[in-house]
This record gives sequence, C-alpha cells and structure tokens, in this order.
Amino acid sequence: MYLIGEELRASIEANLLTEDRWQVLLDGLGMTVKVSLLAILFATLWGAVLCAMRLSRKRVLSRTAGTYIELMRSLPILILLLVSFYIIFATSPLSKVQIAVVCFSLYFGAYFSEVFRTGIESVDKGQREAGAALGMSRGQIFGRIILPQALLRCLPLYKTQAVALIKGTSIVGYVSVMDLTKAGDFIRGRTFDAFFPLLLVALIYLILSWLFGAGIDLLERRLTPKHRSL
Amino acid sequence: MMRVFPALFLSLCVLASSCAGSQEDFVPQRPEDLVGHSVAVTANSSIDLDLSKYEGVELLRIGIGELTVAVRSGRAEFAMIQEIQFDANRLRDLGLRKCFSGYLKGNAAVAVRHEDTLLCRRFNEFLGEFIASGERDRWLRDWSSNPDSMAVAQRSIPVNTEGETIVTGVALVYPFIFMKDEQLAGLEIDMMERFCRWGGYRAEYLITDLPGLIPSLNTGKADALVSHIQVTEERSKQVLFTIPYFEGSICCFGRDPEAAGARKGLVQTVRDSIYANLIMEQHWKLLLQGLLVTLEISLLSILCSILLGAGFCFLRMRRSRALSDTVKLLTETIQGIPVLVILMMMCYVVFAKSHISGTLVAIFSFALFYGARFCGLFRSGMLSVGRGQWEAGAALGLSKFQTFRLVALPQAFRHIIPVFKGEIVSLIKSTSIVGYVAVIDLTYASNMVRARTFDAFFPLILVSIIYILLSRLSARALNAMERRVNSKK
Repeated sequence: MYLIGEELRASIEANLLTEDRWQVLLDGLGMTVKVSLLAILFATLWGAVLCAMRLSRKRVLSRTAGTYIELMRSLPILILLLVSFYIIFATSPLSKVQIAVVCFSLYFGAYFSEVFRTGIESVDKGQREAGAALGMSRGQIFGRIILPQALLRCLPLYKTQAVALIKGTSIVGYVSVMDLTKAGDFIRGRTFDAFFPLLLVALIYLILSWLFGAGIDLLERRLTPKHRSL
Repeated sequence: MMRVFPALFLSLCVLASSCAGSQEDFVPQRPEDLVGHSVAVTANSSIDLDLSKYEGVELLRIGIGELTVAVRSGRAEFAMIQEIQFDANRLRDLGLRKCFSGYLKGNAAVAVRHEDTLLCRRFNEFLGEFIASGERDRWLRDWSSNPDSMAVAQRSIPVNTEGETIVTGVALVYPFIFMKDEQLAGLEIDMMERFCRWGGYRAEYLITDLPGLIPSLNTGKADALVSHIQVTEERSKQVLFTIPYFEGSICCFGRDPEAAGARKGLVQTVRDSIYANLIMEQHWKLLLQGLLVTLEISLLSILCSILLGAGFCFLRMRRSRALSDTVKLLTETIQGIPVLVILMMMCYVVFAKSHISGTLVAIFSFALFYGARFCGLFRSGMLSVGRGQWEAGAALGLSKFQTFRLVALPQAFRHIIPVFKGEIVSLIKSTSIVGYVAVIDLTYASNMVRARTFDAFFPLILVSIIYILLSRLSARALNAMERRVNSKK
C-alpha cells in the first residue's frame, strides 16, 4: 500500500507539478470546454434553422436541408476538420479554434436538426387539430402546443448528441488546437509516462460528460409538468 | 441522389480553395524573426520546445507529414524540418525555399533500454567501424541525393533472416524511413540491415508514430529505436543512447513568391494530381490497403460490439441488482470517455506489453465503446416489448428462449433499427481516428500519400468521397434490412 502511494506521489510530481504541467492540463480543459460550449450553442441554433428548412413546405428548402444533413452524417468529423483546415479555410483569417468551432457546429447542427425533427414529429396530429379547433394561429399552435411537448421529448436524444459533441472535440488536437487530449499528449511527450496522463484525461472527460448530462437531466425534470410545482 | 453528394462536396471545396490569398515577401534569417508569424512544427519535437520559448510565434503543432502541406496550402507561413528532408524531397521544385538553416544542430543515435548494455555495445562497435571506414559518409551522400533509386537498389540486397530478432521501432519520415512499393526502405532501414548483416541479427520493424517511439521501447514492444532520435538530456534518462551516427540540423522554409509562376490548366492539374497521388509509387495500392483495413476494422468491430452489447444487455436485465448495477456503471463509464482516449488507453496502457497488432487493439476499443452503447439500445428495445407478449408466448406453450427468439426479438429489433442504423454508420466513420495509434487505415494512408506528394487537396477529397460512399452504401444495406424486418408477411 505504501509503495502504491509512493508511486502515485511520484507520478503526480512528474506529470502535474514539475514545470507547472497542471497548468497545461488546465488550459487544455479550458479549451475543450470553450470549444464544446460554443459549438453546442451554434450547433443548436444551426440545427433549429436546418430543422425549420427540413420541415418547410417548400421542396427546395427541405431537399437542400435533407441533402446537407445526409452529407454531414456520412462524413467523418476528422475528415471535415482536415478539409476545412487545409482546404476551405486554409488562407482565411479564421483562427484554428474558430475553425474547430465552425466545423463542430456545422457537423452537429445536422445531428441536432434530426433530433429536433424527431421531437416535433412525435407530437400527435390531434394536438395540432385541437389547437386549430380552439382558433389558434399556426404560430400560436407551434409556439404554445407543439414546441413545449417536442422540446421535452427531444431532450434525452439531445443530451446524447451534445455529450457526443463534447467527446468528439478530443480530435481537434489534429489541427493543433491545444485541448485536453492534446495537453495529455504533451505531458506524455515530456514524461514518457503513458499511464497517468491518459487516465487523468479520461477521468476529466468522464466528469465533463457526466456534469453536462446531469445538467440536462435537471432541465428535463424541471420542464416535466408532473414535477413542476405550481 | 447518391451521386449528388460527392459532386456537391467537390464543387464546394473547389470554390473555396480557388480564393487563395497572396503573401508579402519576407525572409526570416533566425528564429527570432519568426515572432508574429505562423510556423508549422512537429508536435512535441525539440523544435516545438525550443520555439515555444519565443513569445508571439504562432506555432502550428501538427504531424510531421503535414508540415509541407500546411505551408503549401497557406495554412502556415513557414515550417521547420530536418535539412536532409528538404533536399531529399526536392521541396525547391514545389515552389518552396529555405529561409535559414543550421538551427538546432543535434546528434541522432540508436536508442535501447537502459538494461540492454550488450546490445548497446554491439551497436557502438558497428557504428564505430561504420563511421571510421568512411562508409557512413558515402551512405549519407547517396541517400540524401537520390532516396528513391537507393530504395530500389536496396531491394536487391538480401536481408538477414537468421539470428536473434531485434524488434526495431521506426516512424515513417521520408527519406529516413518510408514505404516504397509496399516495402520499408530508407536511410535508416539500410543502416539497420547493415548492422544485422554485420552482427548476425534479424530485424523486425514496428511502425509507430513519433510520440509513440520511446513508450514502445520502455514497455518492451520494441528492442531498439532507429528513427533519427536526437540525443537530449531528458531522453537520456529514459533510454540508453549509442554513439551518434547522424548529425542533423533544422532548416526553416516558406513559399517562394517568385517560383509561383507557371500556372497549369485545370485538366493538366487534375492529371498531375491523379498521377502523383494514385499512380506514382503505387499510391493507389496503399490507399486500397487502407480502405481494406478500414473495412476490416469496421466489420469486425460491428460484429464484436453487437455480441458484447448483447452480453452486456443480458447481464443488465438480470434480476440481481448487484450485477445489473455493475454493468450499468461500466457501460456508462465507457460512454463518458471519448473513443479516441479509449483507443489510446488500450494501446498504451492495457495492451502496452502484449505483442498484438494495432488493428486488433482498434477492434477491441471500438467493440468496447460501441458495445456499451448497444447495451442501452438493446435494452430499450427489449423493454419496448410489452409483458403481454411474453405471457402470450407462455400461453402458447413456448419456452422462454423460444418466446425470446420468435416473439420478443423481432419486435425489439424493429423498434431499435432506426437508431441502430445511425450507430453503425457512426462506428464506420469513427474508425478514421485509428491513425492515432499508427494503424494504417484509409485516413492514415491518405495522410501518408499527402506526406509524400504534399498535395493538400486531392488525397483529402478522394478520401472524403470514399467515406461518403461507404456510409451511404452501409445505410442502404441497413435500409434494405429494415424493410425486410418491417414487411408484415
């Protein structure tokens, strides 16, 4: 037991304390959180727009959105990232972090739009008809009847995709963004210790996903009419 | 519809890349001049460390094969590589010029484990003779002037197949170590083979990426590293270095505005691209093999993850609370970690000491990650089958297993197939990260081609199109399956 403790202390010393390596890890974590949150925000907005297009009665709009969604869903995000980095935005003034955010927003926007669509389509047709029978306008029906029910239903799926996004950002190191994974790599490259940095990084990701998931769960509980205190 | 995607994608990319910017004429003379400019360097290399000292240098830390691509595509203004790489790759012909050279002079040596003093002594004896006889200088001159014809010439010399095996860790960097017609060749392979003939050894090569070299030695996967590793104080603590055999220095290069001149027509450009990226040095074979590895990893991972997911699901649905909770915790933990981190943990921690191939490590990782995902999915499918169905089965005199197979399973499958489809496609796509642990899949193969042809455009676009087709095809196959289980015959 004493030996394990001693080894752990030495690992912490080499991987975290020497040369203030914990600072690298902390910066990496900050970058992961920043990229993830910005991407979730933009992807949600873009997903809503795409969903509106997809459900539109205009065929041009819905076909375009459908093609876009299919395209994004059949391309690995790593390839999209590399193509954006070396081809599309190669000479643009966008920074590498901005490119990463744009990529993840474009990519997960497609996934989010499908999540939203599933939510909206899951609301029974009768609800719409009931709204119309009460003399509501189409906007009112959507805003007051469809949307609240749809949002609640798509939250679990939304959570899965958002957590997938957070975890997916682990590849941004490929284009030189110093995120959590890359920070772990950096420490590994200095200390040649494969075990400790990787395990620590895995643990941090686990906590991140868990925290985000717990946040969405809380939101879900608050939104469920059954649990809402009147 | 399926033909629309690649075409659309291609035209978007062409449109975007056609608006390339111009650059002012600035030639840095020393590292200090790079402040305020973007410089591509190999991540975690000694160059990376040294340049990090200068505030304001915008460092682009990427893979070694991507340095030249980054400069050519305009992503970075300058890049730093070994001087011999600049010359051997004939980068001047690609419209690039050296800005300054002689930076970070250093010695490269063979690395072995600290306890392997015998092997180290043998290397030292060999290298001593190699250098003293003048053989080393001839070797260096020949290889740096024309690596490709040397690689062809090398093939005629038989390799030593007898004797004690030395697993040699190498990283693919032209002209030190590279693939020539599906065989390893290069400056250092040549040296290693000479050593084997001299000492009666047999070399077996373990290809890994640069950051993976020293860990592969320390975990016992490799016995020696011959990959122009620079002798530094920090590394000397980890490994035992032989006497140096190669003195290298770094040069900084950028685009040469004067050489930009000759613009080719579109047809000629496309034809040249196809030649360089597919036909030259049989690159199509490399890509095809990469595609096969991608398919192999995908198919086996799908199979294993379904089995593992079913197993997890079975345990998860047992009555025993302890068992079910353990599986729940396990699957949720796995799902909270990025698959890339799982892959690296599998490679560098779990299977660090065992001699199994990277492909298998990748399959295990994906099977574990997607197995955990499928567990939840299968469970939701099983729960969607009402109690009444089970009771009806029992009433008809079916055994529990028969009820499961004939009644519950088809209904559960129908329920989950839309999500299942998405997961399968996502598994296939996510195999693109296995290059991180030096498995040569489609993405990594295209990176290798990129590293040889310095063409950012063609290999990436080609690979994108292949992935799109792959995803669409698998989605179609699954759609057909869905229709079959849904048809109410």
